[in-house]
Amino acid sequence: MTYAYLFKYIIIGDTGVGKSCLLLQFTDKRFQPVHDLTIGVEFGARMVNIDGKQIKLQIWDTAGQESFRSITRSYYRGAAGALLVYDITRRETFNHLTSWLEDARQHSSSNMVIMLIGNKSDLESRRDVKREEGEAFAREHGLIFMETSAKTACNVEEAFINTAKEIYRKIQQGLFDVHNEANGIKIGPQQCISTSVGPSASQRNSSEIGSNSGCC
Amino acid sequence: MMRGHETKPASSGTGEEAPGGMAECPLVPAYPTGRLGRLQRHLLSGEFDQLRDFPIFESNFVQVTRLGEVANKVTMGVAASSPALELPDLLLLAGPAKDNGCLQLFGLFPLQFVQLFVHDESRWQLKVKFRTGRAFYLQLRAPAETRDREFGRWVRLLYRLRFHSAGGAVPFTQEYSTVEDGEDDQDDDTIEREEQDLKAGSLQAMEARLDPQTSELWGL
Repeated sequence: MTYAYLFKYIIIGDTGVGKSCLLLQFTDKRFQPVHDLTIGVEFGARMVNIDGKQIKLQIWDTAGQESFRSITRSYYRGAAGALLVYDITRRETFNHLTSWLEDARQHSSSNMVIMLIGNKSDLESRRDVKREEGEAFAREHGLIFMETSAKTACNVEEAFINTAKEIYRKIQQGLFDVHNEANGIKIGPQQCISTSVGPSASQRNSSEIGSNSGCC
Repeated sequence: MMRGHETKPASSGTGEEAPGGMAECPLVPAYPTGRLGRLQRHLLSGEFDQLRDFPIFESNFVQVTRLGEVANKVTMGVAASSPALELPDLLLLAGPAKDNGCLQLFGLFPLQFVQLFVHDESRWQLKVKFRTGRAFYLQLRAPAETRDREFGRWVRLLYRLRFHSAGGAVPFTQEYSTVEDGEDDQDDDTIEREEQDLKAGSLQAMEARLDPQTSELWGL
């Protein structure tokens, strides 16, 4: 499958916030309630369509546990987008956002688009972080913000695709040098060469959607 | 994961690539013929800038159950994140994508959080165990004429990793894997004694059988 661009994403945030579940929901459209602790980095990939262009998202799902952090942060380099995830039912995961953000900004390009995600929005009754607090944090730090549920798939597509749209917009505006590998963007090959498209990607190649569908 | 259709170890990988083995040329470590391994070629394809220059030792495997039933194809490699390292520090796992069969990188794991064991030497099987407790078994897929040699390089690598990290522990699990899985009713003392005996015996046998001059990468 050919693509116009490849965007490297990283998913970061505290352990247990649902990073791997978000990735699984996005690439496989399924939810796995019990997930092994991520060690190191696990990979996913999927094609999306932005403005008529096929874009391959190469997603690096990093371990959130503190003991792995010094290792995983070395893989932030060269990311075009980051999903910074917290759990709306665990305030401490929200409190740690500043530290994750510092790490991300220190180890990656200044142009990197960061999407702040308040995950587990299906657990409204256990909510510990108000939506407004997430919005305020995102506004203060120049991030995009969404609440998602990897369990119900609410806003999961939107979170990944809106990030891609913002990266694409920056490319159009000339803010990203697509020839600079450090920006996490690659121009696609003209033909398939051992592609690593995620499972069932062929069924989802036209997943252009509107922003903020607002199901959460 | 996808179930394969093989019922026994295949004689080679996909058929197009050279058999996995260590190189005489240090720049192409895994393949004596000078052809790169599938994983290395995948990483060089341009999508993984950060990983493309890693020295890699890799082989093709099939995932098997503890009892040896074949599941899916896996390419496993160990890599050094810096050429200056004396030993590899990363484990890479890849396999065919479900939709098109092209190789897909599944994960990158620091070796400090992974233990590799020889599970069954007679079947060329390794056991991969993560710090989290997750474990699986891999059986080498290589041509019959090079299989022992290639497996021997993995055994040698395991020794090196063990000596480096655990002060001389022996990377064999077959004799006590049943204990780990809770299916052995031997008492602890018996197991301990047997392990010690086996350790001594295995060490001697391995050291005698392996050829230290076959590769320049990590001395495998």
